[in-house]
Amino acid sequence: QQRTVASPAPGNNRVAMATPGAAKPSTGVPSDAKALIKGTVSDEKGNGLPGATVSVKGTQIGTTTDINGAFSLNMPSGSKVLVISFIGMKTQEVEVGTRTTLNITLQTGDQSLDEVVVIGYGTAKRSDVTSSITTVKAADLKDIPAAGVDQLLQGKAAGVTVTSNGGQPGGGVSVKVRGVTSINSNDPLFVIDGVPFIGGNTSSSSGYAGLGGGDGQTGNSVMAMLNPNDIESIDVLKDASAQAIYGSQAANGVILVTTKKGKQGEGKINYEMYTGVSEVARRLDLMDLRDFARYQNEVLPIIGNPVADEFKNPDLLGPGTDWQEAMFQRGTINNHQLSFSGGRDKTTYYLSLNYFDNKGILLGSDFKRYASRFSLDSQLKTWVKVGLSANVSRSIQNVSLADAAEGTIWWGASTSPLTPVKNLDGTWGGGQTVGGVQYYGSNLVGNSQYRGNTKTTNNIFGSLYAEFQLLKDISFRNELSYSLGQDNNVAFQKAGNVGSTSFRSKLIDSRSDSYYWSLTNYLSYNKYVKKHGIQATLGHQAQNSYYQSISGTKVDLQANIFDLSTGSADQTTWGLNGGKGQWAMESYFARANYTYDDKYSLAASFRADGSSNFGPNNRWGYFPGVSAGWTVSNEKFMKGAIANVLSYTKLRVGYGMVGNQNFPGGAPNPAYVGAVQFFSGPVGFGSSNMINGIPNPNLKWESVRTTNAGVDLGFFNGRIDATIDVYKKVTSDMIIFLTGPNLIGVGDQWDDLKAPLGNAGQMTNTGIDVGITTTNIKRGNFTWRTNAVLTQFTNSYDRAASAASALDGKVYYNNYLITHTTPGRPVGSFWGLVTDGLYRTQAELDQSLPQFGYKVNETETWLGDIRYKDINGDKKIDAQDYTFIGSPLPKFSWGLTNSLNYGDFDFSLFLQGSQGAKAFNFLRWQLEGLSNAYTNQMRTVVDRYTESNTDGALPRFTTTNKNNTAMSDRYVEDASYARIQNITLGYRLPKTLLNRVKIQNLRVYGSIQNLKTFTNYSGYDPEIGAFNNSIKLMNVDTGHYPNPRTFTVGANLQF
Amino acid sequence: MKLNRKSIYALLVPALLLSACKEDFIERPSLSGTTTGNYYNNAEEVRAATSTLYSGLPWRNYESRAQDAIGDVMSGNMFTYTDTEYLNFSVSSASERIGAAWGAFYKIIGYSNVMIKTFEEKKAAGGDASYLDPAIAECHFIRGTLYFYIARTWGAAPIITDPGATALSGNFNIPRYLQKDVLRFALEELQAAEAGLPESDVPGRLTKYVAKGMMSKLYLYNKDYANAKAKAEEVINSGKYTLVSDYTGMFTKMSMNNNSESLFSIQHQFAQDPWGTGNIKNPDRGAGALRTSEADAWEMYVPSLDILKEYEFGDLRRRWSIMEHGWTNPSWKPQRANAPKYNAFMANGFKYDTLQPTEDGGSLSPTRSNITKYFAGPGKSFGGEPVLGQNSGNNVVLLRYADILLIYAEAILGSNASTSDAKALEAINRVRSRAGLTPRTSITLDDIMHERRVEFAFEGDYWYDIQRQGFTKAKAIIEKQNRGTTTNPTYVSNFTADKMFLPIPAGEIVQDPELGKEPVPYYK
Amino acid sequence: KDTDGRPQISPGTPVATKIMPDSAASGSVVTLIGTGLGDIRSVVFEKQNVPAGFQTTLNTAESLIFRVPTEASGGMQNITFTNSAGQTVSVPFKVLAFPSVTDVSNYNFTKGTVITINGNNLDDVTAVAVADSVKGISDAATIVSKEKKKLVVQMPASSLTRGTLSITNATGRIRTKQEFVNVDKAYQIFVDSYGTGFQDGSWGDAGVVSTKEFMSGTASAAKTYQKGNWHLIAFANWSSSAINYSADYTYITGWIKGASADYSLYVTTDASKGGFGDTNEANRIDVKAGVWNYFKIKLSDMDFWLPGKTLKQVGFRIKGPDKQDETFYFDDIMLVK
Repeated sequence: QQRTVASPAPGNNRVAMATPGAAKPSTGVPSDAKALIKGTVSDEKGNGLPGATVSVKGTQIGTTTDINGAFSLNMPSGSKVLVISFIGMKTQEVEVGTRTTLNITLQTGDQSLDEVVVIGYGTAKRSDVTSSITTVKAADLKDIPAAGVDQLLQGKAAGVTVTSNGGQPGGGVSVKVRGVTSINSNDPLFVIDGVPFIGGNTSSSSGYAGLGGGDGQTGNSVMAMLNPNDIESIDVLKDASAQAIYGSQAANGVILVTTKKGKQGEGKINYEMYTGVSEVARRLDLMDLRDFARYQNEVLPIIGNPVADEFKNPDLLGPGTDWQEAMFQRGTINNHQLSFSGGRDKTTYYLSLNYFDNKGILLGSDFKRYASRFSLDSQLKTWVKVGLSANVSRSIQNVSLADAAEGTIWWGASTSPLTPVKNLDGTWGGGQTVGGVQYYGSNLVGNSQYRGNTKTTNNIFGSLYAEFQLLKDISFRNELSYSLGQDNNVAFQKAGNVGSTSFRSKLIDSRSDSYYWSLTNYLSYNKYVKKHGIQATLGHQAQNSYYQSISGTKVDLQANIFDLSTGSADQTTWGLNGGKGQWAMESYFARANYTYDDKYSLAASFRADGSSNFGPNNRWGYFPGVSAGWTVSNEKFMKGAIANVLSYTKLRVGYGMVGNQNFPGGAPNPAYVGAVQFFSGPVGFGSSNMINGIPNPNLKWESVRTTNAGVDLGFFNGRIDATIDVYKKVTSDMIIFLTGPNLIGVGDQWDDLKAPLGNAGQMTNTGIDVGITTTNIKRGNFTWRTNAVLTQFTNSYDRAASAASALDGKVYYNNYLITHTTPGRPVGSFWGLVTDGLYRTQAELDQSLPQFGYKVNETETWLGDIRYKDINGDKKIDAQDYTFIGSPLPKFSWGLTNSLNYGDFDFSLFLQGSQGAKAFNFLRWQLEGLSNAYTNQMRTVVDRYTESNTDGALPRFTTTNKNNTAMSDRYVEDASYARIQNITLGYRLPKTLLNRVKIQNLRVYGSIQNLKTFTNYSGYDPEIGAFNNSIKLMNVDTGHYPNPRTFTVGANLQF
Repeated sequence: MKLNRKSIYALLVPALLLSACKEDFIERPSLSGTTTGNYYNNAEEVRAATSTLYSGLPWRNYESRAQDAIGDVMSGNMFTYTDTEYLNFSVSSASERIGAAWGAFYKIIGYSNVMIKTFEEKKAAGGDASYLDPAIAECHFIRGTLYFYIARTWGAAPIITDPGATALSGNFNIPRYLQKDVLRFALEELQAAEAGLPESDVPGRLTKYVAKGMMSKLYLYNKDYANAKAKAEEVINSGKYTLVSDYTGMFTKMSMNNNSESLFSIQHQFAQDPWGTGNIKNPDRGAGALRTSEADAWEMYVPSLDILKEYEFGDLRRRWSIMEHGWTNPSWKPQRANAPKYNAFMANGFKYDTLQPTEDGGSLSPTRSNITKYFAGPGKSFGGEPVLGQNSGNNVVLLRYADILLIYAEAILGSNASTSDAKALEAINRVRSRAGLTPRTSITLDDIMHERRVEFAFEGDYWYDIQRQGFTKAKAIIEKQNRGTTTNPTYVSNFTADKMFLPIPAGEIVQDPELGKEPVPYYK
Repeated sequence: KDTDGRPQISPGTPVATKIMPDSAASGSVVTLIGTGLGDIRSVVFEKQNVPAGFQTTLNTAESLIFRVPTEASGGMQNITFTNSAGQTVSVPFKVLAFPSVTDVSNYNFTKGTVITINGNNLDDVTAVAVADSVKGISDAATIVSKEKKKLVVQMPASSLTRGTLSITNATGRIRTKQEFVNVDKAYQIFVDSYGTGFQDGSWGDAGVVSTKEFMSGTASAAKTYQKGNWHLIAFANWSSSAINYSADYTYITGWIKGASADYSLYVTTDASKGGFGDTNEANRIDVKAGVWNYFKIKLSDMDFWLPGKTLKQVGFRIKGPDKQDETFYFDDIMLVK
């Protein structure tokens, strides 16, 4: 929430914050008027600046420029100098001399210092900030065709690691602020114009589990429902001294989003649009039918299975079905945004309408959004201001279940090219029997005609406020925020046949609705006395949320009508589920800032939260934060010549404590009483119940402490700005199920007697955030600016719940353990055997160690098999030799944006990348495991070990030696990448042309997203993200929905 | 403008009113649950809790597949391509089935433990013993039965009675206790159950006599023939149980759930939700030729060649338990999409045919046979019992009257080479006569073992029968068996004494290293 | 271009240059080579218009791979290939369809016995004969009727004691796995009546000639076994026509109709090692309830006849029955050389 800080008292040598309408126009014409001065104020490009302040130095006289940047002013006698200021520009003083007409060009200023930073329950000036906060402006995000603000932040904010979890339109995005904070959810708290989104940024859709078959990624982005074009700026609170004001909800970082508002002056109409197409950026080199036939001819005799006579002569065959071509399609993207804004008589308004439509590159995936935002602010009286805002959106998403074993991509890559899309008789292919063998595999084109998974979300959120100026320095704000949500998720299957599979028609219709409100009251005090500046805030907040859900299942729907009113009358086939929950929290918060002489600042904040999640013993949590800053460059000794080089220096330190109250999935809530659970269907003798867990009345807050030190530097008067922060963040008392060995009889699965929730374990992140902005060239009408961000952190899971417990991530119906984080390792670490080449000679076999009890012979360990390392040195290979084989976390990630302007042309190049992360390519396990004779494989399997190819790169084909397909570093790859994320070329049509058609401004542009990725990773896309945003499955590629390459053209119009 | 003091206070009053909530604003009870504090106040609520202990929901991870692998694959009654380590005795501690059985057993023990604790607390708080005591006795029976299973499956094993305290303590170093102590604990639990259970109850619910029956089985395992005989006799003399005439129906008809032969069965409901409430043995046993859009069938387990040899000629249990070439069921008429030949073949009822091509309705299992027990058929639309995908509604029987009769006969035989005792003969011949066989005039232990093997084939019991013969005899029995397929006969020769019990799941030892050490006494 | 993954091969003018092989049996893979073969939609074998299915992925502009359908009729015929544009090409091909036999109605015959043979490819049978591979004798049978899956023949008089049938059709000749016994050449113990010199010698109820049940001819021997008595039916020859041991006799064969439940009967003779009434497991016949059971057992596998002994009594003994009296019927009981 952006508010204006009252003008400083005269005599203060700060630069005044210029706001349109802040300076009063003169009322009368003094008799000793010397002259009427006219002029224009414009920017470097020559565009008139409307609303710039022009005042006469040393007087109360001044005016504001009009819509074209023109002004006129009576200059009293004796005055010589005009002061011209404008937000984001360097304030300029002009000697009038004898002139009566002045054309003033303002230079772009070192805006970062005068920037207003949103800090939670108020704002502060960048120059007063002593904690670690990163700000991103709308201008830095333009031209990127993304569904949500979360995706837009990628590579733009130091310390924020953003990975899209896949190319699914509207799909999940992992946003992590400063490493991995918790073993539960890591989603930061998004606060949009003061409305917090307390559920995190991941919403899930249903999978196909209820329909049978493989599931996929079902976690989607909550932020996709907010139209990114409405955003004005984003502030990320990164360290605990900044976050503490949000207390128990801030541990994963806080992202404050400020939307656009109307401004005083004539109404504006803006129309923005873009449209484009997208395609898959890379395909795997899979076998075609000829290769597949050759492969079968060679490997089937090894298993002793007959080779189909059809394959006797592979040269006669055609390419067969290209299932990659089948699953990928040409995507499209369209966005239209119309907004109206303006203000008069102390009232401003903003209204936008948005339509966004994105068809994904994978069959069956798309996302549509209809959104509208409205805000109104009015200065009713000099002492009271009121406002309201509302954001209404509806989104419809079709989810294609990829990113899991037996998901869409998995099938597309592994279905045999023999399987036809359609059979001779027009029926769908699949499960063909050829040569007496049935070739399984899902016909994903056929399936897409019969199955769907649609999520429709309606949401309204916004706020109402009133702000009273009680005294000159004290104001009081009363704010009510609200959010109403409604979800409808339908998974359905039509009756029909695809290949050898018969589908029974089925509908799973799940609906939920929720509301949230918060009531916040706080007092603000602002006072500047001589060199002292004091700001203080004191407040109270009450929050409450409620949700309820219901889900029904029916089969055998008449005429495939997807409505719960149809379907089989046999009640035993029905399914009905539901749930409810509520949460409430009460908080007190306080903050004080003190600055002295623009050199020294000190800030402290405190929040107390009482949450309904915890029992009476530990209900309240207390979260303090302190920080201090020293603006060295304002010291005398830094003035002089050095100031021409090092023009700005500020040192900052901070410490704070924040909390986390997220429970692991499936935890009973509240956790401090023994709950009785009932079942969704008949159990035992009919209706039954069970005791759902062991209460722990002492459960308390997960705690996160951050120590931060930072420096802000400016060189050559703002030609180069740099911000560097180092931090250490320790998470302890993590909320975790206290499970042990199964023999105790408690667990964390749905039908387990739930283990008590407890506080255990510790995790540490240390890192550096670097942000640099430079203006490289600024000559005439040519400018070149660069913005670089670097995010570096290391994570360590220091302690677990008990000596033996670890965090496990499994895939493929939970059958394969991929990640296993033991204390001391980064969270999400890959776990497996370490390979040591292949056995290529008899002599090597003679010296081999027994692997999982195998002997040396053709069915067990043999020539061409993988040799594993004996990690524990006990001269045998077994489960004890599984070890750490790589971390999914990058050593660092970076973003680099270059923007060039030349006259009416603008060009920007945005590169982004990640270095040092490993990925576990589980899809390759399927496509190169060399134990699958009947499913399609990568073409690389041709170079496998055989008697005639003893230096083959891959192991021999075998179905009897199971060790070759054990999880090992064979599947761990370097997922480092550098990507040309966006290239945009824009052109602003000349004014002279536009004025005739009443258009103020028209820019057209073309842009390419994800043009090229430089990587050694062999899968579809090295940017894998986390499966359903779980930290246990980061960078695990089980058939990842790749990020598309998108070509768009767009236009921005202003009337 | 300028504000005067009064108006400031006027504004501050509402502000102060808003600045504190009521005490209970952040007291938010669970909306979807009920708590142990405010529930379990009448018989119905309490019996609904113990009802869960009988259900497939917690039992499923044992009952589905682990029971098959341990009880029948390992004992040579079933052939499978899936659980081959149980066929060839190369079971590793990482075996999925071991982990599943272990997890299920200790999970149900966890349920029982927490119920006993809760109901005892209820009683202490003045709850009505008339319904709390029988419920506590039910928990004791379940706990005793499971420790009996655990002692037979793993030998020495941990004993847990208060999971909550253990979990919160963070100390997971729990030792293995001697097998005899685990058996003693099981017996004492069953004795407590016998004392607390009612004379009779609704069909399927536990009574005194079920406890006596389970005790007789445990006594027999311990070779305590006198007590085994006494307890079996009490069950027989109660007159509460009879052998049913429809043998196959016991396993395949929902209408026969909790029939007059059943003492203790896992209770199933015909539903797919929650997972396990339905019987999911169906697809693992169903012949592939009977797979339809309603019923999954993937014949993971088929009869072994060896058990096919075990049946005497004329033993009706052979076709009651097994499908072989020529077996028919005229009321089953499965049909499939786009399969005209299959549909024509099945149009007049199901024929088990090993000559017909499999895609056209033939059956070609590795031993040319399939199991009928617990296979409910191709689904209701195709003339079978109702099936929903993998789920059927048939109970899984863990103790039935035929077992009591054979325990009784064996208890009388005791350690004699043979017996012609009239009561022993009468007991075994009742079982034989139902199967259409001639009566025995004298019986040996081999006769009883033979009878038990065919009577309880595919019910998960034969492994424990082999095991209680001791290592030498067990080895002889096992190494004589053909454990292969019609095209590839296979015999094992690697059966060693350590294979008599299964290894503790590897993951458990990692979390509780004490399990890797020598067992200690439970009773000091 | 964004396609659904199907190979993009449009129909052309189909020209066949080669079909490999040019003759094959049903189920065999056939490859058509040529040009313009894209997008074939149907493959039809001329005789009876039998369509052949194939995988669309096995069709390119130059080739089509398919299998001869099970229903294809034997002999030379055209295969016609039609593409999606309706253009066709035909290629001559010979379908090989040997006769095959799955089961027969009887294994015993005399001149004139009518035997029904079930199997496949029987509609173009041209000759059926009782044949013997060793001696090269072959006696033609008369074909009464023929259908694709069923053949009825009338058996000839034959000099063979037993033999298989050789069946010839347009594709070729096969010999049945089933062996047929010439009743006229066998040593008859009971056929439609007691064999020469034989009479009833049963324990318990007498064996009687019954015309109610028979496997062939008009009668069988019926025997009721009383509950619990372990009785036997005996065929006794006390006359001088009783035969001495001869190594020439190879089998004992016959049909037994089962009772109300499955029972085992034991063949017993007075020339055996165990003596008459013995129940030797090697002599066991498992008789399924309610149906006629065929048996043919090698004498050398049984305890039947010690060298030097004269065979006077042949019996079938039961252990039981335990529940009730049971009746069995015996027909065509013979010794075969």
